[in-house]
Amino acid sequence: MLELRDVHTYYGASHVLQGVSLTVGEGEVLGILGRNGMGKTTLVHTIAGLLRPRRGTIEFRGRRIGGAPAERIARAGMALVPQGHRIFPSLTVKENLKVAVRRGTAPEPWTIDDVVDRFPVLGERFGLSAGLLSGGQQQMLALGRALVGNGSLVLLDEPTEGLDPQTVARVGDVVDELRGRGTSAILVEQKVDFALRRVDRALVLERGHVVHTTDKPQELRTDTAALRELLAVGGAPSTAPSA
Amino acid sequence: MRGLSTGRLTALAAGLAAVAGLVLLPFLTDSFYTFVATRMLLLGLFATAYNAVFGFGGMASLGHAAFYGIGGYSVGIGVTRWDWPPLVVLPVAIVLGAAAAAVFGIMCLRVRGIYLLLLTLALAQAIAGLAFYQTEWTGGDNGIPSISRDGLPSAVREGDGFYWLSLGVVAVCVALLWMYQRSPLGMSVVGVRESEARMSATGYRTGRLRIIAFTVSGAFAAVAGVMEVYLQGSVSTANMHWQISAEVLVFAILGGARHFLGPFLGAVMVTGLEVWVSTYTDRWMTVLGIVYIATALFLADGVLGRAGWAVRRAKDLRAGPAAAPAAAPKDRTELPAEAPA
Repeated sequence: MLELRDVHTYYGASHVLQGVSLTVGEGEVLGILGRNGMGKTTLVHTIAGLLRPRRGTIEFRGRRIGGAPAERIARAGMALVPQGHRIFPSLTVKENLKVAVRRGTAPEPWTIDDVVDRFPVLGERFGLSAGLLSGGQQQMLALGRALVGNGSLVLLDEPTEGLDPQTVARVGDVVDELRGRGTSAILVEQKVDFALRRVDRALVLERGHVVHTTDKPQELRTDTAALRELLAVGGAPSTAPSA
Repeated sequence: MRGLSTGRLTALAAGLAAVAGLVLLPFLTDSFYTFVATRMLLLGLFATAYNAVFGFGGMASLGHAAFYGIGGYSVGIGVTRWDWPPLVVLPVAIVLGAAAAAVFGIMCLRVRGIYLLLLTLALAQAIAGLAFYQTEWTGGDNGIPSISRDGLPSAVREGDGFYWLSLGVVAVCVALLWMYQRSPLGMSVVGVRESEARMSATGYRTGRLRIIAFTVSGAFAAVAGVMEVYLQGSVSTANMHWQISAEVLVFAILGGARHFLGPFLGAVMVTGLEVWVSTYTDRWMTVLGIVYIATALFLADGVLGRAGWAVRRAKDLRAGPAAAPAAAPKDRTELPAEAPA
């Protein structure tokens, strides 16, 4: 589905991604963990085409997309849930969803009704300007927009950031459902326990390098020593609410 | 009427009263004010067309006089040279206005903000210069005088009839612009205004959307230009002067660029003020200047923006102290937000 080989991305002279390689298989959910400023969002933006890699190759569904415009990558079947509840504030909830609808390449397509079914509060505020929604509701909308884009790969950049536990649980349910529907995903998260519960594989980024990969995220979840060493967190039970 | 709230009923009644007032206006006033009302309608259409690029597209242009003037010259040249009827003039003007606007859109793809203002101004000046020097076709600085309305049906050729024709054309064009604005295409253009990167990541070709916004805007600006020249009976490079572009920008800001009818209201207010103030003093430009300054200082998001805020505030006050206060209109510097995704 997706393969990155030795990808380097810069912000001006600042060398942020320093040779990242990874793969995401069909229907697989890959977790990307790491502390703040380690290059997680840069990696997502590079994959989505919002940043151009200076070196390395990115292949998506058999085609090279490294450096391609974001709209071409989205049309090829990639959907992005950007960090920080990024929606279109002056459009209504309905309009936000409508402009995001694509026939797409998802194995099992999502409709606006599916989104409203998972997040009923959006249906109650369908005609309201999205800028008037609470932060949690805006995040639901951002997630809904990515779902109706019907990509075969969904990039979720910290989808639980700043959300209350109930909303985190709902977002978790949707990630689980994506997985159940056979859609591939990359889940970037600071909530280590939330991420490791629902990904097939995980990697840890540090200063633009992949410093650890695991095919057994459940084991890493309970390995307090490894978590402390890799992420400077004290282990799953104390890091985040279970969702 | 069951199911309609009091607010909606009031809005419906106000709308019907406004429509009745507009249709009956020639019976309520003399020919001078009917002429003024016709100008208000046509400038209102021009401002609404302009706002498809400015308020909804987030692109401040100083070149729209070019499309307005192209519409005007289509009438002038078409009628005086080939005796074209309006049913030929109008489509030709629309195609030429849209094509010129599309070229503007393509040439402005790589610029934003102040650079977009300057580039659109330069392009419009180039077209105005072309009109100035092509004297054989345009009459140069003298323009084309005595443009006949003989091609129009006799019932709408003069006075009240021409007012009703203008009202009909403006109503149809504004309705079409409203439908465009509410369509997925129009919403996508608003999306580009709010975040080009986010729209791009959703799969939209944002450059193409910007060009479409210019094209739609140019087509309707040309219609306004056509009707204006039929009204005035002449066209010259004054119809393409950069000041016209600046005026339409002021209409939009004064009325409220984030509201569909804001620019129309701005055009009506400025035209009305011009007429009203000039009956008392020759220094009406000074008075208008003071109004513009006051708007910039105190009416962020224009008159409609402030009116909307006042309505929300009144509702909050009625709802009691527990209700959250209505947020004051945002500062205008925040309007064309383009945050990175």
